[in-house]
Amino acid sequence: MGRGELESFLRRVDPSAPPPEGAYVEPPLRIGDQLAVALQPHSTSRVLFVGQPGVGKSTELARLEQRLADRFVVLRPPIDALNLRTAGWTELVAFSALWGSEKVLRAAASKGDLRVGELMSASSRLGRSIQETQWVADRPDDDGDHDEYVQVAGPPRPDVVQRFRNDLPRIMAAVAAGPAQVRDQAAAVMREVEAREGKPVVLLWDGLERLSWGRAVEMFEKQVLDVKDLPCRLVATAPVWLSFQTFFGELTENFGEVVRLRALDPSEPSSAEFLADVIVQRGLDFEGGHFDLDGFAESGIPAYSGGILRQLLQLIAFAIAQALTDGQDSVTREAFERGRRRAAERWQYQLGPADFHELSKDDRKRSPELRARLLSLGALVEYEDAGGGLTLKTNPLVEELMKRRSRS
Amino acid sequence: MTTDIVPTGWADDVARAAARGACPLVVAVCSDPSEARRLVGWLETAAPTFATVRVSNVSSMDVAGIDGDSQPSGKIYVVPDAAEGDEPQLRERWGAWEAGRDDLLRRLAGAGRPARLVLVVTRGRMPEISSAAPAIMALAEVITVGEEPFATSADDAELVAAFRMAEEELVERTGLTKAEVSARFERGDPLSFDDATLARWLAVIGALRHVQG
Repeated sequence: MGRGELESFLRRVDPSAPPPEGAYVEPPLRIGDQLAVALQPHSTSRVLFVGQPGVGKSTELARLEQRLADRFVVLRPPIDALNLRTAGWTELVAFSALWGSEKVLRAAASKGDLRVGELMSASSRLGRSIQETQWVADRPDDDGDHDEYVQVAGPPRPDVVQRFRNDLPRIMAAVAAGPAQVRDQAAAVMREVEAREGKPVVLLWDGLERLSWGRAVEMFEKQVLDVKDLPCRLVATAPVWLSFQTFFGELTENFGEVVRLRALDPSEPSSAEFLADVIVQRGLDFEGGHFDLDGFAESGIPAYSGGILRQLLQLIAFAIAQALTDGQDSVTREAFERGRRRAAERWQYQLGPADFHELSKDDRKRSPELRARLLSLGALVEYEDAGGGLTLKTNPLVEELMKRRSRS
Repeated sequence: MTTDIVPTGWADDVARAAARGACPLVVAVCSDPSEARRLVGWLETAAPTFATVRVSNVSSMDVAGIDGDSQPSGKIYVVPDAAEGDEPQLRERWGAWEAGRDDLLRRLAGAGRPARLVLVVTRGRMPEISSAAPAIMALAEVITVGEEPFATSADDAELVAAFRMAEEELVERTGLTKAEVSARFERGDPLSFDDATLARWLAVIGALRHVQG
């Protein structure tokens, strides 16, 4: 026992990283099953995956990727490499198609598999349409076509992510000149991926929940039909507040299925068991002398986590970091209390008097805009009630801030 | 934003969060630009004890300059002017970090020991920043930086005063800055202090940090 072990715990509860190998725990509502079933019906099934920040959407999508890999070509492009504050669905579709194509072509090359002609042609056509190959001098090949490119100078050939990062304004200008053509060409690339691999394609778009209000409304309300012709299955994350908007009904018609991932009420036995299991799978032993907190359930950590996975990990990580800073080799009550304050600190800046006032109201009296804002900031937390409906509660860390404000 | 925000850490807490903290992103909130400069000075002096520190201005960086660094592993990147500029510039910059948060984290994680990014900001700009980048705020370790060691309770107050006295004495005697003194102790290189001075310093800082034994 000692600081070395606390440091090792700290690495295993990093709230910004996916679970370490073997540490995944299936949530009680079996979200992975729900997503897999929602994707089944047809070759272009669309699923909207909605949940508050930190509840575990990315973890579930990473898990889904592994789970479907035998039967599908699963593509999970790093869409946050694309600037979605300006780029739209068409750029996203083109990026995903080129990223997927590059992934498949690289895998084929590593196996010496030469059956890539059709896919290369389709992706080259899409690449030329969005003018993302002007960094090289091209010359006609034997067919008089322009499928061959020769680099004459400059930095190494960028991959798709780098191309979009380097050239997004130019790509967007090209897309604006013919968005329907670009989408058709991206669809052709997807079909070639499917044909080459002999398996249907599933596209996972993770990160759309971070769109700003204006961009989310624009994309999900006004431009969502731009993804209707995508010839593959799709799961897209979305901001939780979308489900409170008047256009949500229309949106779900376009997407077909909505899967929700909510926080788990820590006062429910099954939720408490799940949260404890998450900690055990991360290798933390509350009885082993590293935590001087009377056991996990009694420590207050599950209650303060609000049943939000990231918040659970933050509370533990901040407490461990505080203990290490204090030169201790176990997490004391004081280190936990300091860590808890640290975890709540951001809301001191994110919430103003109007927000605190709104939080103190009955939910039926809250304005839709402020409710949406409080949900997206995590100050309000969504739970499933016993009847399968929705309950909203104030985040326990924010509740502490409210108490402090009322005392001061 | 509430007006009754009190500091929850001091410069050394930011150095430690950057070096051994719970999250690769640290948002250090200073009361004003001069305190922000002092913090950056502290990080440049004290944090190299833990890791290589690279201070880069926003203007010279592509998402914190990590792209241009072939060996980010274990480094601490400090962005001293993360809150400078007019409102559109601020929204643009933080909006870009927000939109590319996972990409940024991937690059910080890199291979081997993760790199850390400290974004130094001032309190007056926090409303714009927290509204432009809620996902960054949700993940980062946010520390409201005070000028002095942070006392969590009235019991700590005397220790803080004793710490400051011992610190000032050492600064005066050595001609070093406070950050340099702190860094020397962290490295186990406490100069040529006499035993009594050393014992006094270690007792105060040990008690303040609750170091046992």
